[in-house]
Amino acid sequence: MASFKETFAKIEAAIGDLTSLEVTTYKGTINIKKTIDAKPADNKELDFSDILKQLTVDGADIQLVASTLSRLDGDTTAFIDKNASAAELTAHAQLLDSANAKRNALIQVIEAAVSGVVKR
Amino acid sequence: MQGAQGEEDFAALLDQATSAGHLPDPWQVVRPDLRDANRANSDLYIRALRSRLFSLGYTDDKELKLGDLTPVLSAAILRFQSEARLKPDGWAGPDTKQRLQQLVSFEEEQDPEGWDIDEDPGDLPAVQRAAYLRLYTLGFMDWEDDAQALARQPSCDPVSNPVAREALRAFLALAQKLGLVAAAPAPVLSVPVLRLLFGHDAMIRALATRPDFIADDDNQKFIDAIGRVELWLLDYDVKLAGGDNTHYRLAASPRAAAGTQRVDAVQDALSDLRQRFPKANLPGPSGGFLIFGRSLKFSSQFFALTNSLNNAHEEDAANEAEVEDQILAAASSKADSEDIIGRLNELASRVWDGFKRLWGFLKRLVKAATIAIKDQVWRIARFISARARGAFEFVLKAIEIVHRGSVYLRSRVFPASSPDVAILAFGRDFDVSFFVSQAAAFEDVRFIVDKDAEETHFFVAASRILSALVGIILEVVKIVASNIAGWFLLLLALSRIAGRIKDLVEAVGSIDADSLKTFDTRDAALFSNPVR
Repeated sequence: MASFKETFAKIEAAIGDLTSLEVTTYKGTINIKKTIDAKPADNKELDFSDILKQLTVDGADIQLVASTLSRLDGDTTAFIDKNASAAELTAHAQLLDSANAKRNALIQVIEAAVSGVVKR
Repeated sequence: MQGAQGEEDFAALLDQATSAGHLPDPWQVVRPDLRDANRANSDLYIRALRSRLFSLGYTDDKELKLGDLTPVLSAAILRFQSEARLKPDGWAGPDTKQRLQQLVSFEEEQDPEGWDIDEDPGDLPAVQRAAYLRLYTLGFMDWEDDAQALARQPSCDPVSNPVAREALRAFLALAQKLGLVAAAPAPVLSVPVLRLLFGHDAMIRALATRPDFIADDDNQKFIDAIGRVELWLLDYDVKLAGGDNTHYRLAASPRAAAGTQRVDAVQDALSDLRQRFPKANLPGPSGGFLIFGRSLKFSSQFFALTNSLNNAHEEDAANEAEVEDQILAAASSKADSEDIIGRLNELASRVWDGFKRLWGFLKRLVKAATIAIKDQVWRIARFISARARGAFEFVLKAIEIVHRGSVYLRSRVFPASSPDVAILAFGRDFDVSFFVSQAAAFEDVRFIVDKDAEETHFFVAASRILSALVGIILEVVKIVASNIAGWFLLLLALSRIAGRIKDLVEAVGSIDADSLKTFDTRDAALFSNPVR
């Protein structure tokens, strides 16, 4: 049975380096259906690094569409393929927005905790 | 960090309360069946819901013994919603719960004008059932005649149901006699008639001043029925509507026959009230008392007492900081502290037992249980009773969100991903990898991106709740030093959480209920309910 302790611990463990955020969009041919189907049946989490590994093994055709590195201090570095379509870039930007929203929300949690301690 | 320690303490307290059964287990396994996506997730809530629907004849007593959401209960919810002019979605959310409370509860929502029903309430089959139930419980039906039981009625409308009509006519005549109305209105469920029928407090107030009415032979069945209701509301274990009130308890002396003795629950309760409220001058002895030459159980003094319990301390709860200060002050003396802990522990086992009494009943219990003890304790209990239950429901939702939100913090592939379209994966610290298939249609890709945006709302909500929890953790840790009973701290924390989460609930409430369903059946139970 899960417990509150475990839940809090899990959240705490997940909070690692929030200072940078990286969103990367690839395009290519995916031939990993077997892997995707098999793992949930085993009730295991899928790992994107496994997928990438398999893509490499299969010699799949992959290309980088866009990559954005956003730092907490506001610095942002972006790579955009000149052949990327507007639709692909829109999707990429939306994912970046969502990821930023999540990171910021968690940072606010931490701020709340810190300010609570300070108030004490 | 102090906060981390506080978090651990708080988590341990929550876990302790869960394992002790004071809080339901939020991780309780529920079937990830999306057909039942609107399931209520709290066992306590389901039991209370089932009890209410049973009272109105929407389920049978076999159903009462079950603890989970069943197809029968789902069908009953749908039918009730349909008959109460609520959105028939099978989701027994706050609106459904409130309407059930309005119709079944004795002490709350006594004015039908406040029920927020657009049409004439008496036209609603659910209201007709509630009126029938009320008439039955108050003694205007033949309790011995099984054919008059609510569950046997094809329609409860007094216009078409002669039993209901005669009962309503008898009630209205009695209401006139009691002085609640100048002239008995026609036996139809108009708003003024419903106001009389559901105006429980007005009846009690009138009975408190009418010993002659109480002594009248013609009124005895009603007096007995409403007297039982009052005892039941005070949490005495009496049966309503003519139920057998004989029970057995261990005899005081082991030499007594078979070690048990027969007890009349009503007499037992009255005897207890006499002891607890000596100033109320309840007539005795326990076998009844003589008035106008008749032996009666219930007296005008009895109704005066219950009326005073009902009306005592109706003002709003004091602000949280003030109550907390009072708790700490009260706990500073060992004797007072022990008294508080003893009283509250006694209360604790009942607070979360929603089966027999739902929330409104607890308020009376609290009043009755604490009226004779120290004022501080009463204030504490009142504070808890006013806030904790509502907060508790918020907490269940908060836990769902926090737990669901934490899923994002694992390295995983977004459930909507498909190799033919796109794979969206989250790394730790929110890094995102997005792999789009060369052959994918853009609208399919867009769907996945939009779903991620939608679930981002949940994560943001989860984080806000977590912020609230963190704040509470810190405050709870501060109070722990005062050494009050652990579960009580939990109640305090829960009651405090209500205000903090209110704005969050509003924010999340704007998200459409359907969007809370997830793609992954493993997590289906977590977000299968709308958060309001």
